[in-house]
Amino acid sequence: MATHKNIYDEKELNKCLQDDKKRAAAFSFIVKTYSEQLYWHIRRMVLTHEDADDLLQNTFVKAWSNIDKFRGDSQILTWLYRIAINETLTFLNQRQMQSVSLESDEGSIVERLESDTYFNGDHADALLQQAINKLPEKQRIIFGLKYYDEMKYEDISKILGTSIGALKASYHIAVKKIESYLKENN
Amino acid sequence: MRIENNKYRKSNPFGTPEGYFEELHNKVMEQVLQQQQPKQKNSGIWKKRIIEYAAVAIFIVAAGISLFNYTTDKSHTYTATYESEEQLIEDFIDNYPIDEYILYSYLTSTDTGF
Repeated sequence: MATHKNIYDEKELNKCLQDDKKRAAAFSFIVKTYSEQLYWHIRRMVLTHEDADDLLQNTFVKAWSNIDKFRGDSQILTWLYRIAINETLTFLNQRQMQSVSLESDEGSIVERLESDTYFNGDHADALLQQAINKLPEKQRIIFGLKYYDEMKYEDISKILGTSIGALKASYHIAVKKIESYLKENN
Repeated sequence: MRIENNKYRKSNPFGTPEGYFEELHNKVMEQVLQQQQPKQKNSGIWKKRIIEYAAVAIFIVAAGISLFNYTTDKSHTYTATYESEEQLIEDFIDNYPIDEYILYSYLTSTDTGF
């Protein structure tokens, strides 16, 4: 996966993860390297810092618990993204079932974000987040990975197990929906 | 309206508490190392010793049972005394697995050898 952070030798890191004595240090390096990137992805999905913090911690704890199953077939970041996305989707589904979804509360996302201590954007930023939150979950994920994380379709395909053609179509539809929403609500 | 234009810029409008990522790293590693500790406690020399102690304990229990059975058998063979033939039969039925046919033959015959 082409990211500016991916400058270490992935093979060497994988070796360290399989070594009992070096595993904790290697994992510490992974947490330091990928925390921010994963945090922002989760945060855009769940919007609040508290939820994003919980989910990111769960992501890393699950990754650690299953570290022996990671054989380096996929890149570490791809593997972490999969765990993070699964954790986030489970959380969103549970929240939806408990009927406290932010999405179910029409028009409130802008207000909530504008009153959030850890939201630094203006009204236009909040409106954009509300438009993104109107998308179906998978489209939101694809939009976030492409638009904000600037990932290649090939890499998104490895994370989500979706064909590149389907990803392109999904992203295109997502952009059109967001633009349409912003036009109507501006 | 294009989301790439200046108004809807690709900036990050979200923020975190100060020093959050450093604190997160510490929290995660603390949880991770706590998970690792129970594995270490059960491994190494203590695990080997527990197996050795268990083997010795099983041997002692097995030897004890064998000795008990041996002395119990001896009491039946050499020390038991019976005041009557009926008492002997009752003891036999209570303590030994016996074929019903043999028992029937004994009770209906006088020359079974008992």
